[in-house]
Amino acid sequence: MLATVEDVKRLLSEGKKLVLAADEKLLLSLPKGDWIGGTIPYFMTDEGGKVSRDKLFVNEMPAFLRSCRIALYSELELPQIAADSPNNGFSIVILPAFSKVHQDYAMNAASYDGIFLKSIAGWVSGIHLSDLGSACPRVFAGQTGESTDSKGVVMHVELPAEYRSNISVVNIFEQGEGDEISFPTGGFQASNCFINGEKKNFHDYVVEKKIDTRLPLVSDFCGTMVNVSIQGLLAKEKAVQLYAPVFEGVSYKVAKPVEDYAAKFHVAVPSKVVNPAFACNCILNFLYGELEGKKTGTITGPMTFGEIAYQLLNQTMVFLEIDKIG
Amino acid sequence: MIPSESHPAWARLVKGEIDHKFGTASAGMLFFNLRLKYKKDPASLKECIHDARTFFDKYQNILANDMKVLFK
Repeated sequence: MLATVEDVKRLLSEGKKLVLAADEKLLLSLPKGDWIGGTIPYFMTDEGGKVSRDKLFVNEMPAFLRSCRIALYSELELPQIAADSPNNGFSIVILPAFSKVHQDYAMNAASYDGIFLKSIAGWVSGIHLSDLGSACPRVFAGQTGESTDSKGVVMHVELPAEYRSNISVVNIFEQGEGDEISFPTGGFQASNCFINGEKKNFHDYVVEKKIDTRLPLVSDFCGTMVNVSIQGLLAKEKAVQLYAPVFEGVSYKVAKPVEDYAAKFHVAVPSKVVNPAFACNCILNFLYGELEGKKTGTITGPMTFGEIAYQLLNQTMVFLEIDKIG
Repeated sequence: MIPSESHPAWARLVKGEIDHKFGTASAGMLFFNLRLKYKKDPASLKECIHDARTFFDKYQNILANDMKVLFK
C-alpha cells in the first residue's frame, strides 16, 4: 500500500516490520526501526501505476513471524545470503542499481550455495529517470539508520512451522520465432555472439535486423522464461549494454512483441493471488507498457530497476506469498 | 518417497537428456543452472545430483506433479 511518512512512522512505533520503497528524502526522514528500504518513485498501486515522490510503498511483514533480522551485505558477503536465510521463512533483498553488489549478485547468485533451497526475493533500487546522473540509487537498513549505495540490504524473516513461503514469477514475455542467439562470454555488455551458431557482432545484428530493443532476450530455464533486457546500443564500442548479464552456454531468442502489458498481466496473475506479502515489477514494463494509471491484476508494489527471485531478473513481476499449511 | 541418487532419472535430468518443463520457477532455474554446471564440469555430476535430490526432498509437496512424470 502507498502511505505517508506519518503513516509509516505510526506503523514503526507499533513495532511493525516493514519493507519500504520511496524517494530518498522520505526514507531519510524515518526513525530507526525494523525496516529496510530502497529508493524508487515508481509504483503499482491499487489505483494503477503511479509516480510519487511524496508517498512510500509499504509491505508490512506478517505479525506472526518468528524472527526478523536485518543485515547489510558487501559484495564479499553476498554469497552468504542463502546460508543466512532461514530454513522456514524468506529473505527480502534490496540492491542499489549500478553498484558492484548489483553486478556481483547478477553474475553469481545462481551459483551461491543453497540459493534455490531458500525463499529469496527482492528488487534493485533506482531513481527517478529525470535524476539520472545527479542522484544515486540507495538502500537503507532501518535498525541502524544506515544508508548506502554500495551494499545490499536484506531482511531475513523466519516463519512458524505451520507457515510456508512461496515465490512466483510472472513473465508476460515468451520466446519469439526468430534466431537462436548465444554468447561466447557472459556479462552486462555483449559484443561477440553466435546467431544460429554463426559468429557475428551483436550490436550489428540488432541494428541490421531492426530489433525492437524494448523486447528482452528470453531464455527457457527448464520451463521458466528468464529475460535479459536491452539498455542501449553502444555504437562506438560495437556492443550492446544490458540490464542483466547474458551467460555463456545459454541460448536466447528475442521476445515476441506484447501489445497490451496491463491485459497480459491481468491474465497471467492467478486470480487466487490477493495481497501477497511482497511483490515488485519492472520499471521497463511500467515505461514500455505505459502502465501509469493502469493496473497489473491485483498485484501492487514498487516498479524497480531489477527483480530478484533467487537470481536477478528483468522485465518480470515477482511476488511472495505466505500460506498456512493444512 | 524421493528416489535415491542412484536413480538414472537424476543423471538424465542433470545432463539435459530429459526435456522437462518444471511448473515452479525455482525448480526450472535450479535445473537449468545444474545443467550449465555439468556442461562446464562433467566431473560435478554427483554433486549436481545431490543438489537436485536435496531440492526435491525439501519441496516434494510442490513438486508432486513433476515427480509423477519424472520418476514413473
